[in-house]
Amino acid sequence: MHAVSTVKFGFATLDDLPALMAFMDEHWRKGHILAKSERLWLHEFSQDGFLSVGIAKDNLGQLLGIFGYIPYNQNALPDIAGSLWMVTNAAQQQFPMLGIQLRDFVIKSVPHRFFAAPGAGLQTRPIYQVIRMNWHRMQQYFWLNPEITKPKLVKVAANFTQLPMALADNTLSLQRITDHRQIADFDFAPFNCILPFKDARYVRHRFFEYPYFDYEVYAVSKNAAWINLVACRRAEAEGRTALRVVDFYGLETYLPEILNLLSESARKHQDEFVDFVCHGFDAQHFLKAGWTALDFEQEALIVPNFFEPFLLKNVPVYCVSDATDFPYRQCKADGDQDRPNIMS
Amino acid sequence: MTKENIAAFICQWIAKQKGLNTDDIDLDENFFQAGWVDSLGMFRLIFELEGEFNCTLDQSALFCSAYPSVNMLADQVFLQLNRCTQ
Repeated sequence: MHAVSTVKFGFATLDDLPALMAFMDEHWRKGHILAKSERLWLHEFSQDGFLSVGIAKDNLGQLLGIFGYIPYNQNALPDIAGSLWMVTNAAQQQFPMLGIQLRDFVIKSVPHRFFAAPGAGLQTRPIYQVIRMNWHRMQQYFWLNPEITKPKLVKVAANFTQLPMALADNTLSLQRITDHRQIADFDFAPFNCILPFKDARYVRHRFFEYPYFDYEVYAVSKNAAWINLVACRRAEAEGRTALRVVDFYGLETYLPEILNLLSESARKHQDEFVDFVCHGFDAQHFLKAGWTALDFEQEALIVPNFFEPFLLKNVPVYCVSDATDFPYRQCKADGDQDRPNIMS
Repeated sequence: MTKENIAAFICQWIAKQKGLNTDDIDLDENFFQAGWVDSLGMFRLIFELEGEFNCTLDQSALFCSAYPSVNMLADQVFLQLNRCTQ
């Protein structure tokens, strides 16, 4: 270890990729997918020959810290998510405020409208308090498939009673989108005021070009018009599946009916449950659809959130955002979330 | 509000967190190197300072100090408080 005399802030280029991967392996977690998969780095952070990762280097060019960001849209002032914020222990000892200085550098260097991301570590809460960002615990709403009598993915409390499923609006239907060019049929523009605003390019890149998971993107039709998009993923563990709703586009007006359709899809596919980890949606919509909000404080009823690797435990996810008067919604797949943590 | 009041508040906060006597704290010593405050502690301290003195501090200026000590932080906070009230 050497004493550092100066720190330089900048943005990573493709030449920094090997060092970034080594950084992840050494300082984040040994064997982490971003220590092994160049493909995932390029998918998540590559932009026109540079990487959307702020870096701090010492006078010898060694990486001391990283702070990544992911744009939600291609506007001149995009909404962005933060990702991969870390400073090495050695650098932290020498420059205790390096992490916040690096974040400050990125936030001031990248023009943007709004910053929001899920996946914030609980230990970072005091930081966000002081930098005046809003802190939220995301909800996990779920519906258990009553046809699965011996579940393996969930632990069901003996006294658990699921709310009745409301009657679905039979004028709504789900249509699986298999070709990303069909996304052009959905008008994203009216939802620019729902933060963060995710555009067509984001949907294509996030769900149709993702290198590791197969997502199912559905258009919700009413009277032949597309009124919503819903992104889902079937997660597998213990030889069973669960339908995970990971993103939602459009107004919430028909959310109860859409949730009913998703519950029905889970029943048909013999999924153990369907769930949606999110923030900012009206809880009443979920209750109307017979879904339940998971109580993270108890262990009698467990609905897992982590499948890669599988963890039978209730784990709340936290998200942070700039303060805003606009509607703010955060979904499970936003930012750098909903990714495998290890490569199989 | 004087700079000395602010320094006393910081000193008491550190002493409480670390189980020290305020007399043990050198007001000009680097509190990171002394092990009295770590980076998360710094955020908590700023949060407490904002509450105590009912103000909103410019964090960038506070975090950029090359040699953070009780007196230097008190100086910065004092400057910022005066700027706010002028």
